[in-house]
Amino acid sequence: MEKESMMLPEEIEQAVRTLENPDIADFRSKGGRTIGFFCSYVPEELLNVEGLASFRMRAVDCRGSEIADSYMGVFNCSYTRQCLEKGLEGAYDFLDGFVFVPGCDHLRRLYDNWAHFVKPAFLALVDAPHVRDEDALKWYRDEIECLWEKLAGQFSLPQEREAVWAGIRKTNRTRQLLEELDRRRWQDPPGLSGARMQEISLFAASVPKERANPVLEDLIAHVKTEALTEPYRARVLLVGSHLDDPGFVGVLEETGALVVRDAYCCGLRDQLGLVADVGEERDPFAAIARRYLDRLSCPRMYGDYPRRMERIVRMAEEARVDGIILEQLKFCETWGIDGNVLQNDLKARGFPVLRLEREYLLSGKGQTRTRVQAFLESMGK
Amino acid sequence: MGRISIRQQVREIPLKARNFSSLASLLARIGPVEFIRLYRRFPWLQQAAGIHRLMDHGMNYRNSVAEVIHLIFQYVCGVLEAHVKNPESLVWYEELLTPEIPRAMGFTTFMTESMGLVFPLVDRDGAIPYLDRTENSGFPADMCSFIKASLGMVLARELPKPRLILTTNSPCDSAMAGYLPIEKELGVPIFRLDHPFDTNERSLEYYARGLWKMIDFIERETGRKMDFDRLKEICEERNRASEYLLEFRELLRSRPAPLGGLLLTLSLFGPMLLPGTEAATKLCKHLRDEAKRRVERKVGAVRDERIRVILWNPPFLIDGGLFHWMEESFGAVVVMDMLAYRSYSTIDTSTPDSMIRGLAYDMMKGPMARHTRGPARNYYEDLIRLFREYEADMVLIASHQGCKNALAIAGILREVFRKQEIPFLDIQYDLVDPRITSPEDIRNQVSRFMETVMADRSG
Repeated sequence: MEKESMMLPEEIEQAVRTLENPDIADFRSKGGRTIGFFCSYVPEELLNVEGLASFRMRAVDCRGSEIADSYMGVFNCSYTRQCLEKGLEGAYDFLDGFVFVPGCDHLRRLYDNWAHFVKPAFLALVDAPHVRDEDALKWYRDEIECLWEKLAGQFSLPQEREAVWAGIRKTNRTRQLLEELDRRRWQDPPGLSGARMQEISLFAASVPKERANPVLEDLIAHVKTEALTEPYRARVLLVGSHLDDPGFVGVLEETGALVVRDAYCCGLRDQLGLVADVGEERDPFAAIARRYLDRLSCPRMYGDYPRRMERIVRMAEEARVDGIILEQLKFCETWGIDGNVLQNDLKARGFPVLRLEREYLLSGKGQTRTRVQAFLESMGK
Repeated sequence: MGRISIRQQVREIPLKARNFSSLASLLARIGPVEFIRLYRRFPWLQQAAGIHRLMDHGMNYRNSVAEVIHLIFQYVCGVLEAHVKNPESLVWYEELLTPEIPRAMGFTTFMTESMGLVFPLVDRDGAIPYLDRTENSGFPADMCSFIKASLGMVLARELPKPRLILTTNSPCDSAMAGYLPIEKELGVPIFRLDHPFDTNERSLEYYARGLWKMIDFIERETGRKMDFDRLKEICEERNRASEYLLEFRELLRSRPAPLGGLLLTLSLFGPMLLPGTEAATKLCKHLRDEAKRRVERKVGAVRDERIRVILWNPPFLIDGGLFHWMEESFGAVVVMDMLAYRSYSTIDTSTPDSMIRGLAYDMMKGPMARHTRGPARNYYEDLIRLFREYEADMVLIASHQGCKNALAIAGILREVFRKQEIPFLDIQYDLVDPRITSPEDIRNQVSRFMETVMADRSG
């Protein structure tokens, strides 16, 4: 595919390329505090109340993980090892605290290593449940309230629930705007590429929402009037584990597989679904918990496979994709096992499926291209 | 392996004969046609028949190993009989979910991972066909081989199909996620318990509620009713066994340690496979009695105990003879390990609620559950405590490559051990697959450590 005509503002590209971006620096210079979070089950809304800004943890520009490899195992996923490497280097010193969820074996142990070696001033863990039922909802709700109490104590935040609702509304707005952009992407002809959408998502996850929202509004206005003009060979849905590298999506798209929709961690999967804001007498913590349990789940939510599968099928049908690519980080057991079952079931439903295993740092581009080309050819594209 | 005296061989005849008697009585109950069918349908039964070889791994305490083997025979025969005569009565449970509840409802219970536990102990290559089966079906090579072997058996349709499955998200993601393909392949109802990260009053209450929901699920799916009187009997039997095991564990603190590492590993089989049964209690009593007798006579697992070892992580199943070899070669005796150091709390049987709560507590405090699903501090604090309590000289970390939880805290452990001045050997291997690190290589690593770091003690 030729280079895409739509250019993103430099501000977005900078936020994607670097860890500490000017918007964060500006926010902090005015007294704001920024909190890094590691899993899509961290209730981001609480990290976006007045005076706080959330930052989705990435290991941008990491060149290796030699030190972290000696602390963790080489069979741990490279995302967690690269983040630990960066943490040990002090690359996240611009953040005022960190929130984890024991999302998987690797993240749970990254939390332990973070506490032991990085020793940040503020560290919290939200124990998100692994099942979906009313008890799990109550458990999650209480965990979220507990996080709120810790944040409020540490950062002298107002105790009123209205402060939480304000964070919810701000985050909901970002999600609405991203969903709107996403719809422009999967229309026919598509409004923007998957790599661009990934950059926009990362930007929104890396700067204060006060800054992200107006930029997203401008982008929507721009995309409304333009459609992607470059040729592509097939429309695909990209599904899978943590992926915060537009370069990887770029490799798929250069080969002709246009990612018109996605359901991977750090992509649109995290953004789908809003916290229901039905009135301030409602319990904000329960509302947040329900949103996170009801959205398209990660395979960490065991027992939710049938619902997850149906949501993915629906997304694929809505976007009229030609095929589905499942990507996963190497050593991710949840995606490794779930992905194999998913692949078979999606094929049984008539979707061509390609599974790609990858490392956090973009590597093996040639091999990936070859596999995608073969996949496209197998679809007659 | 040492030589067995004629007298010992004669003494072992009845010990082995009772196992063949268990098989004969199974044959009588199900008839020869079904018996042959079982052998054809489940080819691993032929492999399991070699289980008496386990006794050769515990040369200094062969009689005690024989007791464990007998329990395994009873367990397998019970499961096979249920499969033939009343397949609707068979329930599978995941390794960290104790099966007292379905047993109180009249079900025969089968631990999904149990054959993965036994195969490599009997024959180091025993699980390989099943591991390959799973990998060749597209599942990750790096997932925990313990569940990988079980999944392979399911994919090969070589396990007796259950009426339903009960599982948890402990001890790891492999075990948690591995039950999805098992569920899909078997097409039976499954109940999933949610184990929280930490163990405290609130999480215990949450987990216990999960057990109540599990009871509702079983009742709904099968129409059978929970029998709390029967559960009380089972829990009381279990409490008796726990008393013996606690005493057994305490006796292992003696110098010299009366029994060695293999027995520690095997002591788990009672509580894991047949908890709350007379067979398990009998085994636990035997272990206590044998340890007590040896302590009184000052007989150790080895004649000259020089090094006391704490083994952490699941033991080296692919080399059942490792412990005996360490004992004989270096006078090194494993005096406690992670799995044997499980919670054996007394369950309060006064009310249904207290029993469910007691079972929940035991599961949450169980080995691996609290160590790998829980925070890292549980992992190393227990280890340090045991190191002191058992007056150990070194720690042997069995770094199973499928256990991402344990691998990921290598740096923390290193720092903790150095601060505490604890010598430790960390061996990377696979619990079930000898192709990753061969038993020979494991022994080489142990030798080098003993001959250098522990040279002043290993002789």
